[in-house]
Amino acid sequence: MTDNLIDSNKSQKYIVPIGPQHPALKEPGHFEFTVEGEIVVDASIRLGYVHRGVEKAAESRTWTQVLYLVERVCGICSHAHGTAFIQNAEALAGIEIPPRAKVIRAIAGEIERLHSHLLWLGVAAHEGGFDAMFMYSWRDREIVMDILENFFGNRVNYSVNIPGGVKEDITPEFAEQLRIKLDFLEKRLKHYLDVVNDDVTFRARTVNIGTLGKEEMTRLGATGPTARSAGITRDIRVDRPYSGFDIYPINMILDDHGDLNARFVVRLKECFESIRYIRDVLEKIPEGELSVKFPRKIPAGESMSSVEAPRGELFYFVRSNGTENPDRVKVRTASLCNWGTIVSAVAKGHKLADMPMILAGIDPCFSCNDRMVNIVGKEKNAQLWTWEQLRKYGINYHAMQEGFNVSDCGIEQLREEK
Amino acid sequence: MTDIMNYLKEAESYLSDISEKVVYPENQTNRIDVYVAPQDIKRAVKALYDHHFGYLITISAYDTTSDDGKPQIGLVYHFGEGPTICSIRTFLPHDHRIVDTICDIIGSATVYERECRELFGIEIVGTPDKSKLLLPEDWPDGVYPMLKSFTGLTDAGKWQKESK
Repeated sequence: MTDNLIDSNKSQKYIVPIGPQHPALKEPGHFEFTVEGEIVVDASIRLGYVHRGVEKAAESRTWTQVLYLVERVCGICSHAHGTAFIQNAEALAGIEIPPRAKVIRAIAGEIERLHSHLLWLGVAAHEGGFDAMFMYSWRDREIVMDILENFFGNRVNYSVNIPGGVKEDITPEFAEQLRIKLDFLEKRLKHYLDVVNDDVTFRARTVNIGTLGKEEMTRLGATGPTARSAGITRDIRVDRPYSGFDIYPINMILDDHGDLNARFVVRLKECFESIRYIRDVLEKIPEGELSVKFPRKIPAGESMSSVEAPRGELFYFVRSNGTENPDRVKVRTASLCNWGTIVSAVAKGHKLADMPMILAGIDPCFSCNDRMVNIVGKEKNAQLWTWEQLRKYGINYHAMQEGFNVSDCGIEQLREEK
Repeated sequence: MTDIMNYLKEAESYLSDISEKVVYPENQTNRIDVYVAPQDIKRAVKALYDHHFGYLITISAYDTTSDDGKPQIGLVYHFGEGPTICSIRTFLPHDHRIVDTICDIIGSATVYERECRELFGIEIVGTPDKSKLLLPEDWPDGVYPMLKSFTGLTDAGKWQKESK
């Protein structure tokens, strides 16, 4: 099927619906690409397959319960969700957490960023067929997961935050272990950055692909590494510094190319900056208490603030009506506004074969989004592909462009048999 | 601190001829709340957009009651600029939940408008995409789960059975 599509029907329009169940992206989302020959002319998305009604559920739970609830909005950036919610609750209650707790929150956030970016690096490489890189980066991600497990007792949903502070202290022994692991990670990350910058095949698949200019990104409201890869100076840790970043500032990483390669470079360089930040802050972490008393009932009022999650700005709007339960908790995740950039701008005009990597390039998170965008054209002849088929199509297409016949060497068949 | 104040004053000046009330919240010094009439939302958003003030963070809605006890929907358009957040806010009575779209000014607002439509039953005049975003395709019409009056589908069992 794959080969036929490459060879024939150059002028005919096809709609290629993908998902919602597709084994490669691991999360449910439904995309429909309208293609003319090779080129995508329209794209849409629909989310909602993992909609769990968290915002509604939050209204019938206590402030402490909601903290643990929102940590489960996302399995990757659970600390970012917890921090964003609880700092609003603390602002409403009018309490200031101790400096040591603030800094521990910041360190936990940066460890989380390391694991999220390494996870993404693996997934994005896999979508492009660079499976060795996928396996190595996920192996190295395990080191970060070990750090989280040793420190907070859990690999995901580690609940660093409690209302009014943090749960665990950073001991000198833990700091020592952490430094050794960070040294190793830094070496590995240098290697990945070399691959991204120098590897010919990797560059062929990423340079000048999915490019979006600074102006358009600004207009579409892109955020996080996706925005910074186009030179937009937008980083909540710098713009509206929150817990920890107001005491010890962090540097913003920028790139001005705006293409897929720049998104790799920015994320990898952010990992270096996170490592530097953790090392620096471990040296001068302030002494003192870990938490202050948090009231059961919070005065009526409202608060809104953001944190810089690994994917970008995570915004929380919290209202209190003076009872034990929040009146309204509104969550705006980073993936959602970055979808807009992909759907309305980046996808169009690119080859269908580049779609897996372009989509992965914004680091989409479905349980965060929990919304779906529809890319349905009006033409008939729709052909249903799974994400895996699209991924293989992309890899085969580029291999054939380089003169390799992938089906001859039998790697894919071998993999399927296993 | 003066920097923050400059941003806030800037936002206030752009909206001066539209705003009904301006509030500087005490618990967060980097925020400004500008209250406008429902029909002025589009003008207010356009004023900020034309002056390149910030970017639209999101649109939030919440179910509340007015001072005289009437149920109403609060609709908030959050804009982020540097260290500050500017919120344009309006109130829609429950029996007249209608507001103009801002998608012709900021295209990426479509997902936020779809969300308000779907979860709060706000009619958004001129919004380009009215398809379901979050709820299942067979969710009953006219049931808006984020309203305080919603406590669950009464015939949930039946509905689930039918959808199978």
